[in-house]
Amino acid sequence: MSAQPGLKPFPKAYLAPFLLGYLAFWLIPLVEGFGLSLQSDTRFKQSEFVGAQHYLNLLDDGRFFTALQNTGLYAFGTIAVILPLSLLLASLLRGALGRLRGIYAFLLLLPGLTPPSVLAFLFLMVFSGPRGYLNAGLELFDLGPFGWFQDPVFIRLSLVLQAVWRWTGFATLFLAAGMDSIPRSLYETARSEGAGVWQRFVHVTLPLLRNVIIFVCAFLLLDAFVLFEGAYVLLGSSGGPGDAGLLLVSYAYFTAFTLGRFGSAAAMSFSLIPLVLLMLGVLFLVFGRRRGKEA
Amino acid sequence: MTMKMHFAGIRTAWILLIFSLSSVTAKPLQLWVNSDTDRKYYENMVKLYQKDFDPKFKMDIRSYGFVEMPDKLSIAIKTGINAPDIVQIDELYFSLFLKPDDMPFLDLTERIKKSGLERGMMPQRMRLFEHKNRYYGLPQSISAVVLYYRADVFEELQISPRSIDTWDKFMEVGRRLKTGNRSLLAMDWSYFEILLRQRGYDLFDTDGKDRLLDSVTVETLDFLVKMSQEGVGENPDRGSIFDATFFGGDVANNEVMAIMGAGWYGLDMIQNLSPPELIGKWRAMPLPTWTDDKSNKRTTSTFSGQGLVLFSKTKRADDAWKFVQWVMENPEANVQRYLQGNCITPFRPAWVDMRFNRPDSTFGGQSLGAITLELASQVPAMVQDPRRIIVVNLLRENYWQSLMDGTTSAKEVLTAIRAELGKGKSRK
Amino acid sequence: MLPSLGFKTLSPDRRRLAQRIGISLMLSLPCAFFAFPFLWMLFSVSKTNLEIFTPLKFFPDAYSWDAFRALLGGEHIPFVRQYANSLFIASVQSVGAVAVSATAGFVFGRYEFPFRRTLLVLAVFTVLIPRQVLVLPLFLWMHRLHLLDTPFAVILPGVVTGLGILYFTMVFRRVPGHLLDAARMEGASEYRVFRFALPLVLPSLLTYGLIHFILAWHEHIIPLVMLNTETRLTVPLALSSLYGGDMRVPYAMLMVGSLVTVLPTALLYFFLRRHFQSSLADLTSR
Repeated sequence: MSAQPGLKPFPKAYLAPFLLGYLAFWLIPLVEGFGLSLQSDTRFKQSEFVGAQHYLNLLDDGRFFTALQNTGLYAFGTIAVILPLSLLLASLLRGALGRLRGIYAFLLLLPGLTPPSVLAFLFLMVFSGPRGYLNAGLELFDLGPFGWFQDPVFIRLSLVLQAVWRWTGFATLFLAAGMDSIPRSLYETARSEGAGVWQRFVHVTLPLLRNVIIFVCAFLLLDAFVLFEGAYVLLGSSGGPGDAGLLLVSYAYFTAFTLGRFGSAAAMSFSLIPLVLLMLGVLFLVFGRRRGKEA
Repeated sequence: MTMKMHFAGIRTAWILLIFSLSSVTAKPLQLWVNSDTDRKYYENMVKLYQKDFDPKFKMDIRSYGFVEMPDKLSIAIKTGINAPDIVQIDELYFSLFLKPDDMPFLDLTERIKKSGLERGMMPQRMRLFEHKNRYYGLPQSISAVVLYYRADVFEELQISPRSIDTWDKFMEVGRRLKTGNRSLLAMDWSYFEILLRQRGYDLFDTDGKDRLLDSVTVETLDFLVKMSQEGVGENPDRGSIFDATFFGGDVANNEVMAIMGAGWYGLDMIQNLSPPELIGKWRAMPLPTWTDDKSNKRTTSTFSGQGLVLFSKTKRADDAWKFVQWVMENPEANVQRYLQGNCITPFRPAWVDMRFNRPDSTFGGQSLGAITLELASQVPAMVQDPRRIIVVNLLRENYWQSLMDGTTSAKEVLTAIRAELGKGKSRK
Repeated sequence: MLPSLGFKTLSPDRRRLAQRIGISLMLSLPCAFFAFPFLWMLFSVSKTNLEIFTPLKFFPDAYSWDAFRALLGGEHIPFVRQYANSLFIASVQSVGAVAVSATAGFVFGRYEFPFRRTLLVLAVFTVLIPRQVLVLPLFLWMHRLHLLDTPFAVILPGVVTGLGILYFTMVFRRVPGHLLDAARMEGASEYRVFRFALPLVLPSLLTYGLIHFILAWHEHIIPLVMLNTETRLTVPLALSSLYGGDMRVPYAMLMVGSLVTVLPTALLYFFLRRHFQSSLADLTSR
């Protein structure tokens, strides 16, 4: 990397908008939110201080752990499907006719540009409904019809499919742009050393895309643990049969808004922060380790 | 010069102050509803009220999504900020807000008694927003449940609807009618409470004791499981007759020959779900009866229904109450609620209007209004309880599907739900 | 790739072209799969509810513009007004977010100062916390600021984003230092240096603006809580208020609604596509 950031006088005023906004719209609500997690769950009357009660209650809340498990599965599933799929699509995209590239990229991106509520409606109607195209297609192979929102296994599959449909376009675009920036000479060197398509992919493309891959994984992790719309619009704030599709975000929302237990819901969300931090840390550690060696 | 300006300043300050005070009093009442249709109805009613009663009356009506409205209400109630004065709420969601020591709605008991509304209203329906002998709201509909059936298919198979007068006979017909993908009844979680109430029972008793493991309760849920297991009933995808996007296909493809629902269900849903070729093929009939002696051979039941409640911190309770009372009593307001919103009022004096007997073309000219009024006296009371929403939610979202599949038994499910209720209690 | 004899005899140029055509054909399958529901949506704008609920029926029986007229004509909701609200909120918020994140990112990326790390970690926190936890305190806070039921109650909380700060920290770190030093040689203050650096990262500014616009355009929970008056709602809220299980509202209107809702993000993507790609390339090259 070029010039080290110097220890010169720095333009402090440029930090002001960030600090001010952070204080006003994050830190204050955050502290108040934490305070809320220590207050009793009342809908209407003045609430009382209950200390860590809500946090302790979580320990014997079976649904919380179901949701935790589902969210983990969902995060793992989306990453496991989207990452290889978008790597494949990105490499193909680079090989496609120049004029078609933009159109293809746009078509893949389309679900990501659509409002989540509409996306869910389309997903339900077109893909997974009892009379949807997915079942109709499977019927051609004498399979199904499947209850995509009845059978616990298929509910989890539907959730992952929904995420795949929504985010693959973005991931593909990021990866394709990353691939574009890899100098051609590296490939030529590899080719002259007798590396095949697969070897070039593993030894040249993947290592150089590390940053983008980390970014995509981190985003998908956050989508599963923090972002709210994806699962909510599909299943509402419930988890479907047997809680198979109950995710943490929807459970917290249900607890807060539907049941009016704002304190419990806040405790639920705050207890997740260390977990997400840990996972992101592991992610950076696993993928980012190489960097230390090279530097 | 400076003196003058000073005075002018004081004057404008006064004018501003007076203006802002007067704008507080002239601030319109706020009503929250949960559908576009209801918003239109209330806008029309406000016009009528202005003409009839108070030309200066103003109301700000806001409609939010059916699920979003209670969410927004949760925040408004918790904070007391931007809260509505009046809310149109479904009785099921009402149970969500029902906490005896933490009640966000105004106790209307004295007002209702003094106004005479208590005498006019069907006593069974007054239980919708009642808890521990206090009234917190007024109901808008009778919600008498009938059995909708496909008259053309019944005729073709020479089934006389009149002969289906007990649930046993209903099962017999169901077994006969079953073919590859055709079933007699579309199943729904709402049937549990419907059948329970038909038998004069409910999930809770008035003392707040749950009746989940009483033999009648278990037997009733078992009966629904049996229906599904024997193919008499078919569980729609996503397990609900209220999910129009999914259930619509079942109706259009002739997979469903009968549906249980209130009058508004027929007009709101069946009327809109039926393809043109099915218009006029539907009919409604009273429910088959239970043969045990407790149920009094009741041929109807009740499910759901909306009503008006007042937020307990409203600054203008009297004005709000005046409007609510008017809209509940006024003959035209009551008829329009049926014509515009498919709900028949439980306010008995209003029933004389002939427009309630309007024929409905979806049902071959049969009048759903007339049937509802005929059944009204038989409509059972219901028992409101804060924990009801938890029972309904768990049954609907978590257990209904496995019940219908036959993978869990009624007893197991009710035991599990009861355990969940106990948990909520011990935590308090 | 294709081992046929005829293929090998082609000239390298032609061979490459044939390969590209082959790959393009292969790609059209997944693309069709991703975009298919939108085609269905396109044809559904003139369907009846019943036709929509029978999704395998791809084409409507009759074509009409009724749903367009009903939605845009304000028959049920003041849609045009709400659309303008959404545009205003999403554009102001993304411009604001770019400004705040770029200035802070510049400082974080180029300077060393006390508490730099702590502040960055704090910024990351904003990404980790589900919005619905903060919504109640934010609501109270906006009430105290007298901003409830105004667009600013939705805009302001979205202006500070950890995602943007991290992104611009990385972007400015990649600007070659000697270019900035050149400005310093000419006597520019550190504030001026930032203005000098801006054109260098233009694609990144536009890209982040686009991403933020998409997120703000789809935001549901904050507007739901902050906005009350019908004419002040945003499009996602307005559409969901129409479809509360009320069967009498034509679903074709929802199709029209979603079609016009996808429009601005799609257009923005098309206009900014080149910048988008080159800025991503900036970010990824090492």
